[in-house]
Amino acid sequence: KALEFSVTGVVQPGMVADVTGEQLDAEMTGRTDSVIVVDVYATWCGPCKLLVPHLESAARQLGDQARVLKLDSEKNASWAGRYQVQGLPTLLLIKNGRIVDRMEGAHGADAILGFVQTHI
Amino acid sequence: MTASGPRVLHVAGHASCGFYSRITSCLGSLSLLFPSRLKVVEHDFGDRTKFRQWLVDDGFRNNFQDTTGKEHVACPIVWISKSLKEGDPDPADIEKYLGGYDATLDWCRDFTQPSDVNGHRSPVADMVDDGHTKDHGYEYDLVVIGGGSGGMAAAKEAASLGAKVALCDFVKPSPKGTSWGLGGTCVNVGCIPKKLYHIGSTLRETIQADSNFFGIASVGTEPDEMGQLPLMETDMKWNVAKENIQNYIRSLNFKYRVRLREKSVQYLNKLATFKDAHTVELVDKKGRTSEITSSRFLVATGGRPTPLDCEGADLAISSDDIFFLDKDPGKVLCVGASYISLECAGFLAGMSKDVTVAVRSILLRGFDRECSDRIGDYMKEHGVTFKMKVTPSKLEKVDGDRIQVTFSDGSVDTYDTVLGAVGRTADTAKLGLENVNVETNPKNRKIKAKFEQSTCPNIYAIGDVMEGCPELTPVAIQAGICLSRRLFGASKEPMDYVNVCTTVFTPLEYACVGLSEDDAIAKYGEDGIEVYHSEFLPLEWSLSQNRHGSNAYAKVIVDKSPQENVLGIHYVGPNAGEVMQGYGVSMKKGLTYKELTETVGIHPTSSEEIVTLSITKSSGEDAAAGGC
Repeated sequence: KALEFSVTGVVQPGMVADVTGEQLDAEMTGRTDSVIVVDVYATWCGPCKLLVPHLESAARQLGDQARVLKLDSEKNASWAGRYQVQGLPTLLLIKNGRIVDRMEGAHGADAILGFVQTHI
Repeated sequence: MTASGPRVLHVAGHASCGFYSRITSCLGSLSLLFPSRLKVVEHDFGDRTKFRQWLVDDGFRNNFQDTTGKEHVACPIVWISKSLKEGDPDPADIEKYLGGYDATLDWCRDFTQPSDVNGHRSPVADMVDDGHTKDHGYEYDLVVIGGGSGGMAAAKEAASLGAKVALCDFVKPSPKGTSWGLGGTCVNVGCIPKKLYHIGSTLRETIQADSNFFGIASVGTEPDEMGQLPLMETDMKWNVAKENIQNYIRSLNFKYRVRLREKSVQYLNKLATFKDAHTVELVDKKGRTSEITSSRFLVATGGRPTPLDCEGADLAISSDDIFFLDKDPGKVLCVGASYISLECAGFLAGMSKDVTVAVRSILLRGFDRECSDRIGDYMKEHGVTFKMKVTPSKLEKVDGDRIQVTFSDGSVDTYDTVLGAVGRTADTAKLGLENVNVETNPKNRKIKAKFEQSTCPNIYAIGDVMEGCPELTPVAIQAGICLSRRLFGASKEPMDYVNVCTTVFTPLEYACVGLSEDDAIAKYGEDGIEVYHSEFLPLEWSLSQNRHGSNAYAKVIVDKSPQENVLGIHYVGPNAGEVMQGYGVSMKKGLTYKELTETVGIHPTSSEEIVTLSITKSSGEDAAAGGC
């Protein structure tokens, strides 16, 4: 079931998975019928650390409705560049293989859920 | 020229020539505005043929002494005469050949600029034509080598003016292995971390020295029977400060990458070397090579710390390493008396470290002697040990990780960290400059440049790597922007390197603009200057009994002209950088002692001491300030 949910097998329903740029590409193109929410972050970024528990809570509540991933912008700098990430953290909403929305800054679980659910 | 009276300019040409009509119009306006300074006599020959007949065939031009004058063919031709006579051009009444259209415009610009000691007239930046054309066919219009203060500013400005720009930034790790991200020295291992550590240690020192006198103490502490509170004892944890400062710097690296992308500058994290005047070879951190071509290049590679040259020098670290040491530096020896060494020694001492500074000769060479000595005295009073007139002869490892240092005077001591800060060398050794005929100074390896253009016309240089550039971030930034405007905009303005404010962030800060007293004496003679000065205790230190020995100091150096032009302003005291910035603006416009002291001070501040200076050194009066 995990393999149906996630193309690469790296993420399961209800959890947040740290992925590489390549894995993100695979998830985006390999399965386009469910949305992906990506937290682009950096280890030195204070607000990114604040976001962590809220994102995890939102992931638990989303279950299999969305794939929740996070991407280290330092280790995957070219992806962050390609997606025009200007500030950290940035949540990218990917639907049908394309970025359709983004939200910058640290937000609570409810705000994150609201953001994702407008696209489900 | 008539002894007292206007300069007389003769313009010959023909009215159907656009250049003639523009020049006569310009000169006409000036002589209308300044009749006592300029008179113009026009000679309109009617048409080009008659003009050439007079100038060339009949040989009027042979009357000029100047060989350029003798070869002049174009319309107009301008010369200066000796008398006020009008009438036909008189070969006997020639004082000096001036030139044609361009030369006369330059003369007019000079004529209109006020000239005084500080408001110098900058020449127009006459760069050599580097052959750049819009359809040059190279991959880029400009490739910037070095992503520091100067490089990034120049790259973004050029891109915003429509140029296709690439920026190559690659940090070669220090001998100890320290490396960092985009932004150059200032952001990563210079100004920014230095100031943050300085702020932190000053904060700690202030809390410890002043809090209790302001009634501040830890919650629950009560005053003693004398009504005094105990000192607030504090500690500064190296690892916490380092972690937070490092994270902030990483956020700056990120911000700069975003900014380059926003401005459409291609960022290449690769090491560039010149193959030929239009090609650089690039190597990335995995060793993969590639090449790019460009019409123009800008070298902004800055400098790196010069290593110590004694036995065991590899045991020492440099300013590239000090800000991000994994463990507390412990007992430190700073070798050198540059501002880098003193600033580091200062903040380390402020963190209660045992700090020694080894000085070969004098403190802060190049800076005002009197102010430098005050800085040294303050540091001595605040726990820094100075070993004067010594250099380290040998470094050896002892007790596991400690370093035993033998000095040139025979003394020996052991330290946890030895910081070598004996100077910086321009980072040009492996750039391949020999392949492109870019000349460097053999002593400091800096690139020789005029108007930021090197000896290879399409290769430019700014910032620390360029000879003659004050090694300061804002100077590099402004020079970079200025250069890009000349290369890709319509500007002809040169960079102004004179009267740049600077600040040394030692525990007792020092800021200045203009000449030091030593340089002023060298230039004008001791009798050619006057110095107004004041020694004072800043209000913020007045309550604390621990501070009464520490004094701040301000002085202004003026020449002996009737208006007493200000040659230099010096301030030693808290918040020196903030204090000095505004005075830099007035120095650019030319400042007199009267204008300075007629400015009403802001009270109570330390800065107001500068606008209320009245006691001269020559009077012999005590410079210690009186009451309020």
